[in-house]
Amino acid sequence: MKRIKLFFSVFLLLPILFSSAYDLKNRALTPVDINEPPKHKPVEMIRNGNLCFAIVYDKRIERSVRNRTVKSIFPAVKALENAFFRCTGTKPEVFDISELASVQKKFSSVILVGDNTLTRKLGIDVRKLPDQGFMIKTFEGGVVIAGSDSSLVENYNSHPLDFKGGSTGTMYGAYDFIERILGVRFFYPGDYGTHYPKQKDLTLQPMSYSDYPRFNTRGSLYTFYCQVESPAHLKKYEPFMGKLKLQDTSFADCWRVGGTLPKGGSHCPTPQVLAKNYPDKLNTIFYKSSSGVFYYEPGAHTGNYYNVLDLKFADLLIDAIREYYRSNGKVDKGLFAHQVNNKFISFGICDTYLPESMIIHDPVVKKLNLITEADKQRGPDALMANIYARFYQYFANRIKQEFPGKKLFVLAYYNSRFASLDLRWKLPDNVEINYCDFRLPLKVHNQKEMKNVLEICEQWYKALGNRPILKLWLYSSRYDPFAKAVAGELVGEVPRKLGKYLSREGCMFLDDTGDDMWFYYYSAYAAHRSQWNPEWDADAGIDEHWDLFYGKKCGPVLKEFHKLLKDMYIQHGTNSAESSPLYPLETLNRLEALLKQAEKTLEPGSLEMQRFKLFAAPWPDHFSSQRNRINYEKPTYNVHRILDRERKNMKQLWKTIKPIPMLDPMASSKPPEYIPFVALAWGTDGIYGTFKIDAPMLADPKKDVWSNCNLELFFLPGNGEIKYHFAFDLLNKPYFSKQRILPIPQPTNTSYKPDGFKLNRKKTEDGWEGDFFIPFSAFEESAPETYDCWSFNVVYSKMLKPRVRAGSSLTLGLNHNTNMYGMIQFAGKGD
Amino acid sequence: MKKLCLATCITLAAAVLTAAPATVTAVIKDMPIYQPQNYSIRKGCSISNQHGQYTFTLVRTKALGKAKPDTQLRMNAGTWGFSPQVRFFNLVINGIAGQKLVVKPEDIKAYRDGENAGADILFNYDGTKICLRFYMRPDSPVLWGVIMPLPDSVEPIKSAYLEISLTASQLVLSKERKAIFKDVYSRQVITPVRTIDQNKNMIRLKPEDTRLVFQDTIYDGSGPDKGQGPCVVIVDHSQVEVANLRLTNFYASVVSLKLKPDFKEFRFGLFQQNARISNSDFAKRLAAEADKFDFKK
Repeated sequence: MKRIKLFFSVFLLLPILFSSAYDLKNRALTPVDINEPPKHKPVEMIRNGNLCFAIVYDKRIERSVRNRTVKSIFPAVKALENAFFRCTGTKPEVFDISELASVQKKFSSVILVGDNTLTRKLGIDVRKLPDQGFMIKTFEGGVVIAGSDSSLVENYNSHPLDFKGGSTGTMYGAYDFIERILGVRFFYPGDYGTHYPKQKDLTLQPMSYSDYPRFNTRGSLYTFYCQVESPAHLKKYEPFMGKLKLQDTSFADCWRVGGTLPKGGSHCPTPQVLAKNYPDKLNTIFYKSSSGVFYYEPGAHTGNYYNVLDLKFADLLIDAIREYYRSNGKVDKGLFAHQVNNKFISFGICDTYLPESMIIHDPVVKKLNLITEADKQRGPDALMANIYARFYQYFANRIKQEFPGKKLFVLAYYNSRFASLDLRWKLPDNVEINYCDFRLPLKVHNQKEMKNVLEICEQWYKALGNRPILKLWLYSSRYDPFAKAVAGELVGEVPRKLGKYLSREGCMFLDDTGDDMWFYYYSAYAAHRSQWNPEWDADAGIDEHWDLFYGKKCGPVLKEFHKLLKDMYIQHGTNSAESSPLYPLETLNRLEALLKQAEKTLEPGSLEMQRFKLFAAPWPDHFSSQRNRINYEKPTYNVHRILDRERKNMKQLWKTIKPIPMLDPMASSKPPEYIPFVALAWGTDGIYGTFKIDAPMLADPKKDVWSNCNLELFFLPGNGEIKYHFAFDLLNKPYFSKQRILPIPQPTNTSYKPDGFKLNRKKTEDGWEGDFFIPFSAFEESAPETYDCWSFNVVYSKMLKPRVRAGSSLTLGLNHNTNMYGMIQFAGKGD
Repeated sequence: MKKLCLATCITLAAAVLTAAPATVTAVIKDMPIYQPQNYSIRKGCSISNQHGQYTFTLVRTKALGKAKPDTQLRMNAGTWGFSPQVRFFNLVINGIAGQKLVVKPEDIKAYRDGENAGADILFNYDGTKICLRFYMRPDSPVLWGVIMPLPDSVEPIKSAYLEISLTASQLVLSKERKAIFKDVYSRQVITPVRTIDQNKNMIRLKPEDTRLVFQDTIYDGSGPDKGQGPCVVIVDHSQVEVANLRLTNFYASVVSLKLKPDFKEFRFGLFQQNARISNSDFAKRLAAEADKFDFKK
C-alpha cells in the first residue's frame, strides 16, 4: 500500500517537478497550430540557472547557396544566444552541425536551428512549410526550430527585377520560441524595452507546433527607420529607452516585420521623371481639361494629374516599361524602381484631386457616358470610377500581351478609390488592388462608416471577378494621440470585418507615420501582432504586459489607464467626424490622476520607473492640449489701416505694427520654438504683409514649396464661402489655390492665379524675410469695408528637422481646418 | 430759553439736512454678464445718485463659430426699458455702425465735473473720433448723455445718425414663457405738446417734442402683470436735422435722429425707473419734477 501511495504521489508530482512556466496556448501570444507531440522524455534546458544545452546549426548552409536575400538561420541563432544570456546570465555555446555527436556527449540537450541533416531526419522538410512559416518540435535530447527560409533557395531573387522580400521562417520561429517558452516580451528597442524573465529551471515537455503569417507582408522597416533617423531622434528617445543605434531597424525582426511579395500598388510612375524623359508628350501624360487647365506641375508631386482618359498614355507607359524590363531596370524613364518588378507593374495617382467641373465636360467622358448620375450618388470620389476602370482595362490587357505573367497593381486611393460598376469596363484577371481607406482601423466600431467600407470592398471584389483586395492600407491617426494610442489594437478587427474581400496572401499595413511611435509602443506592438495573425487576442496581449513590465503595484493602475483610454476613444472618437475630437474633461482628469497614482507606486531609479517615464511622457502635453482647445478663443487680429502719409515709408510702418500672435497649432501649452514675425496692413487696394523668420531653414531648389520651409496664408473673405490659399518658400514660385466651401464644398482649384500678387523675399543671416501684397481684385468677393472681418489663418512650417510649426489658429495640424480659424478685422484710420 | 434752544437746534438740523450735498458715484469695472466666456471686453460703468442708478457696459463678443466680433453698448437700469433685449444705442458715423468698431477696455474713462460724474467712451469711426459721455447730476434721476466729435480726428463727420431703442414697460411673454414680439401692444408717447399713439407709419418728431415719455396703455404699470411703466428719452433738437419715431405694435420702439454734420455737442437724456410705476403716477411725478427732466440751463 505504501508503495502504491508513493508511486501515485510521484506520478502526480511529475508534472510539477518537470513543469515549466510556459503555456503553448498563451492567449497573450499569437495562436499557433499545436500538433501531436512526439513521445520522448522531457528535454532539460536549464537546471539551477545553468544551461544544459548548446545551440547547433549548419554554419555553412546559408553561405553555400547563391541568391540575393537576407539570412534567417544565423540571426535566429544570435537571437537565441542573446535571449538565453539575458534570462540566465550565461551565453549558450554554439556549434556546427558537424560537431553534433560531440555536443550531444557534452550537453544533455541541443537547440537545433534551421535546416540541416538532423532536422530532415526528424521529419521536417522546410521546403514544405508555408511561406515564412516555421515549426518547433522537441525530440529526444533537444528541440528543433526550423522554418521556410529563402536563404536556402538557390537563385532566389537572382534576377535584378525580382525584388522579393526574404522568407525568414527560422528567425521568426526563434523569436516565437523566445517569447512562448522563455517568456521574453519585446516591446521596444534599447536597454529597457524588453522583458527578460529570469530562468532558473526550464524543461520542455514533448511538443510540436507550427505557425505562419496570415498576411504575406507585414509592417515596414521605414516606420522603424523614422524613429532613429537622426541624432536628434536618438536624443529624444535615449533618455527614456537607453542606448539606441542610429538608423538601426533590427528591432523589427522581433516583431516579424517582413514579407516575400515584391513591392507594388503605390504611387507610380514619378511625374517629374516621366515628364523629363518624354518632354514632347506632356499632353499625353498629364490631363488638360476642356477649359484648358493643364494639370502638370514640374518639380512637385501634387498638382499633377495623369491623363487616364487618353489610352495613349497607357501605350506610353508600356513603352517605358518595356525599356525598363529589357535593360533590367537600368533604363528607368518613370522612376519605376521597386514598384515595377517581375511580378507587378504598379500604377498610382499623384496626390491631386480633380474637381468635377474639370472632368464632367470632357468629350471622352461625355461620348462614353463615363460619369453617370448613379456614380454621383456614390459620392464625389466615385466620379472617376469608370474613367479609371476603362484605363486599367486597357492597360492591363496590354500588359497581358506584352508582359505575360505580370500583374497591374493599382493604387485605389483618393478619387481612384472606387471600383466601376459598369460592365463595359470589366477588369481582366491580372489586376490587383491596393485599397487605401483613412477610416481603417480607427472607425472599425463606427457602423455607418464600416457599412460604406464593406460596400466599397464588395464592389472591388466583384469588379475583380470575385477576387479579394490584395493589399489594404490602414492609417493610424496623425492628429489624435488618443486614437493613435489604441489604433494598433483595432487592426485585428479589420480582416474579421472584411472577410473574403481581403486577401491573406497580400498585405495589411498600418501606416503609423511620424517619429513618435515608441511613445505608444503598445499600440504598435498590437498592430504588428495583428498583422501576423488577426485572431490574436489583443486585449490579452496588452493586459499581460502591464504587471510584467511595470510591476504588480503599478501594472494594475496603468491597466486601468489604458482601459479608460480605449473606452474613451471607442465611445467618443469612433463616431466623431473630427480628425482630432475633444474628449470629456472628466475622463481626461481621471486619466491624469491615474498616471500620477501609477508614478507614486514606483521606486525612483528602478527599471519599472524608467519604463514608466516613456509611457507617461507624451500625456501631459495631450491633456493640456485638450484643455487649451476647450478654452480656445478664436483670435481677432486688427489689420492696420495704412494712412496716405504712411505709404511713403512702409519699412518704418512695419516697425510700429503689432505682429500676428502665433501659437502651436497642435494646442500644446509650449510656444513654438521658432515664432515668425508676420504682420498685415491694408489700404483700399489690398492687403500688405511683411514677414521675418529667424530659424534654421531648408531652401532646396530641387524641392517644392511643401518640402522647403514655407509660409502659408489662408483667407475666407466676407461670408467665408471661398477659401484662398497662398503659400511660398524662399525659392519656388508661390502656390495659389482657392476652394469654394459654402454652400457645398467643392474640390480645390489649383489653377487659380491671383493677378497683381506681389512677393519679395530674401535670405538673411538668421533665416529669411520679405513682404507681399494681395490686391482685393484677386478675390471674387468685393473689397472689405472698414471694420469688416474675414476668417484667416497663417502657418509657418519649418521643414528642416526637427520640424516646427507655428500658426495663428488652433487648427490641430490641419491647416485647412477653417472652423478653427481666427479673424482679421480691417481697422479704421487711427485704430 | 429752552424753547429757543430747541427751535435753533431744529432749524440748524433742517439746514444741514436740506443742504447736504447729493453725490453722484461712478464706478468703472469689468461687469458681470451672462456667459462671460463669450466676450473679450465687458467693461462698464455704474452711475448712481439718490434718485436712480444706471449701469452701462461696453461689450465686444469673441469670434465664436462663424460669428464675427460685435461691439455693443448695453444698459441695465431695471427690467425692460433700455435693457439688453434691445440694442439701445446705435451711433452710425459716416456710414459706419458702432457694432463694427474696434474697441479696447481702456476706451472707457472716468468723467467728473463738479458734482456731475459718469464715464466717457471713446470711439474711432475710421478716423472720426467721437466721445460719448454718460453722466448723472445730483439733482436728477436722468442719465444724461453727450456726443462730441474730438479735435484729433483725421476725418470729418459727413453724416451722423443715432438710434435709441427701448422696450416701453414690457416685452410680453406667453403662458409658455415665449416672447411675443408684436400685435399685443398699445404703445404711446407723450411729449410736452402732444400725445402720439402707436402707428404703422414713421412719425416725424418736431422740435417741441423735447421730452418723449414712452408708455403702453395696456401694460400701464398699474399692477404686477402690467409691466414696469414709462421710460423717457430727452432730446436737444438744436443739433438735430431730422427726428423720427417708430412706434408700431411691436415690443421695441425707436427714436432715430439725423444729427447735423457740423454738430459740436449733441445732448440727450434717458430715464428708466427701477421700481414699477404706473403711467398716471409717472405723469404726476413728471409734472412735479419737470426741472429734473430738463437740461440744466
